[in-house]
Amino acid sequence: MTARPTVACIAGRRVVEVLAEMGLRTVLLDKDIPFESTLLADVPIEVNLDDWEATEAVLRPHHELQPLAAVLSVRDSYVPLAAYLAARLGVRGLALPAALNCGNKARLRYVLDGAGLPNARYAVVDELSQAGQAGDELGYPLVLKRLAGAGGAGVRLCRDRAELEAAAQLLSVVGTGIMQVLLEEYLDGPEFAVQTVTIDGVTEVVSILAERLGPPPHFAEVGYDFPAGLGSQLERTLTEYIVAVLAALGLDNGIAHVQLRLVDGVPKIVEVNPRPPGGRLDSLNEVVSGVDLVRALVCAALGRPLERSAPMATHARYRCVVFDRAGIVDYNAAVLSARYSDDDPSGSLISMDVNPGDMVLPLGHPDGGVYGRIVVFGHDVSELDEQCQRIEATLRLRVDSVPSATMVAGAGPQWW
Amino acid sequence: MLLKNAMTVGPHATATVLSCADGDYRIDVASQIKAVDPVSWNDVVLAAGGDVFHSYEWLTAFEMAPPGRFDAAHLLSYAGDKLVGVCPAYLTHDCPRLRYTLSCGTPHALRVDGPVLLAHSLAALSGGPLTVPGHLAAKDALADGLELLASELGAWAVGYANLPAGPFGGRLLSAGYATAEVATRYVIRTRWESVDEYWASMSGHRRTRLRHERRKNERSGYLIRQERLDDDDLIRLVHGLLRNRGTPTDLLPATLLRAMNDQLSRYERSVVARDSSGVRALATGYQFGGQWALWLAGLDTEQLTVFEPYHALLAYVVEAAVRDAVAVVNLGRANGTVKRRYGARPEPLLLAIKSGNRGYDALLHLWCQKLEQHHHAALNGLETTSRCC
Repeated sequence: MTARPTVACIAGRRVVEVLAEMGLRTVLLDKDIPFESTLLADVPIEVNLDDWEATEAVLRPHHELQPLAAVLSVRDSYVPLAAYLAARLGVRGLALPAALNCGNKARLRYVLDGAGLPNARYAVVDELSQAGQAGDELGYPLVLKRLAGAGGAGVRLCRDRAELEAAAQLLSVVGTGIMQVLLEEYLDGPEFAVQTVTIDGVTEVVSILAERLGPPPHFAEVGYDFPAGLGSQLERTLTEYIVAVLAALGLDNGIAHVQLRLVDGVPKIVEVNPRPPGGRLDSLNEVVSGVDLVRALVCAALGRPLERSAPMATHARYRCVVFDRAGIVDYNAAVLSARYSDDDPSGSLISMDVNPGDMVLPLGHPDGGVYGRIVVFGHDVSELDEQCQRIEATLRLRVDSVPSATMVAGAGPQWW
Repeated sequence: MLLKNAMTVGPHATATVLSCADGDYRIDVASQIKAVDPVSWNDVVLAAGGDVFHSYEWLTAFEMAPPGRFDAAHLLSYAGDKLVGVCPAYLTHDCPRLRYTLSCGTPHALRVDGPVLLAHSLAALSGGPLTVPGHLAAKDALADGLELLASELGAWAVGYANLPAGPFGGRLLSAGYATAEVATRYVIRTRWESVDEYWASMSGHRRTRLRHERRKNERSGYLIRQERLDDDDLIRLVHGLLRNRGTPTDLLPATLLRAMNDQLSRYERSVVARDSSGVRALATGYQFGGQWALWLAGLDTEQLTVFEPYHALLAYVVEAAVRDAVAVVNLGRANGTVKRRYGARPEPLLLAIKSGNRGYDALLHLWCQKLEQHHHAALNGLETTSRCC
């Protein structure tokens, strides 16, 4: 027996590291546990995570031997399972209804309607042949989405029935026309990413970032800015809305990465994910808010006060590395920096998902996307501009036969 | 927030058991539908856009010959003395449909250990609270009242059966109910001025195909018409089809069919296919207000192995609805592929259920996920064990 509280987590190497840093005993559940994670976790358990009852049966004896304090996960696909296990074992964790309400885009829309909160108009379509008529009734332009799954995968702007039917075809089961998609009115307005922490039902907004999106029809997220440029009134409106949305979803203990748009000054949800944001956005959030969202998730799961440090910067830019054409990428790998330095108040993070010599595809390509991320931060805009220029010069990013790679631009001069 | 006021539910009585803390609505509970004023009840259902499955008469027939063991516990919401909302409900001790539903994908650890207060029946094609315009908040009062009543009655769980998807379903998701799409009804919202306009709204290819199917039925000698059947024919045809599809007849016992035939006669709008020897097929339907709902199908399985006049029946119903300016035609569950061709749209019907115990509720959520997968598999022809009713 140990006096250290025990937390069960499902998948996710970083969360295991954080649990160890926080002095907690860790039970790690995953389908396949990498060797280095088996060393980090106190109790690594390989189990079929698709079978919730079997997972419970495997975890319960460990709980009976040494009671768990909480169960959590930072992976979209396992957040509901973690909530299920927490409920079944009677320990702390995210409420299962909240996990399910966030994980399905139709449920999210139903909940917002039920709570009388501002919401996009929408229609659920389960057969290809119905898509056109549903689209006509909803009106164009509209956005087509899969019901489940986070991120922009499968998200597409459709400007008319022909575009909708062509896009829907790609999301239907070949030969049957069966599909599970959501049509939503196109929310025409600036988009924001909001990070929150909720402990015992009390929600705090820890950062609001202005999003930069790639061109339609795919809406890839290509950059973020902090501060978001909202006035205090709009920021209050947006904060109140998000607090109400998370309460309606039933989110009691956890974190959320919320995306929304302001349409004529009215906030409307795009998506709610009860886990840290992807890419390096969690790092950006920590730089500007002093809150590490994974630590915050552990605090929420355990019912502890939120741990925070002083923010490192008052201004930040986050730029995704994307390309406007296919080719072979090259860059100076020596400048990559995985973590910011605590003693560098004006710093940067540069990470790439491809190595020099790898093939890359353009942003609009179905298999294309984001190939790297650059975060710069400091205390005024001019500092950021200088850092951007310095990184551009030293990274020397290029694609063969392409005059210049495209790093999607910020408000300042030139990252194109 | 509702407060318990008194608990004096008794036979033949409407008893006030709940009252609203803010005083906006009073909730009464009726231990049988006959304790309620039929006109006031039906007026609320009509004003709320409800259908025959919420009507006083449908509930009366259900209580006269219940398919299982149920105790009525209908909630009525009053603003002052005016009835503004209703929520039919039954404390369900034994229901063959619920039993069957529980047999689909139930987690091993889930033991339903007592009755379920259900609003109101899986046999109906709609469920949940209805309120008159201007009293939307009465729905919340009814929902709170149902939960409180479940606790008072010692129900193992509280829930809603065949609730149409919509904002109220969203409220239940917020409140932690496990939900699953357990059925799909196919509905035509008529928007055509004439029968010709209806047919013209289809693609030429589809119109030709459907008319061809209809002519084929007519050539087989079927006469399609609206007709009220006697009890024996109704039971013979409905049970014949159930047996043919491997579905137990205790879902719709003869006593219930007789009671429905009797109580709902004023709303009846059933359509039959006859040949020279008698009635061969049936779609029992009822028009309540602007909604015409086809509830049960029947087939003379001694003469027909397949539902030959199906297209002819559907075409007749849609044409009649357009001609008579019926606003909504509910073609019922099943055979979605064919019904869609006639312009029907699928509308999910939800089961929402909550026990109030976190551990059991987790199992109910898991069960609902499996139940919904099962339903979708059946809808998409990937599940062969699905029953017809």
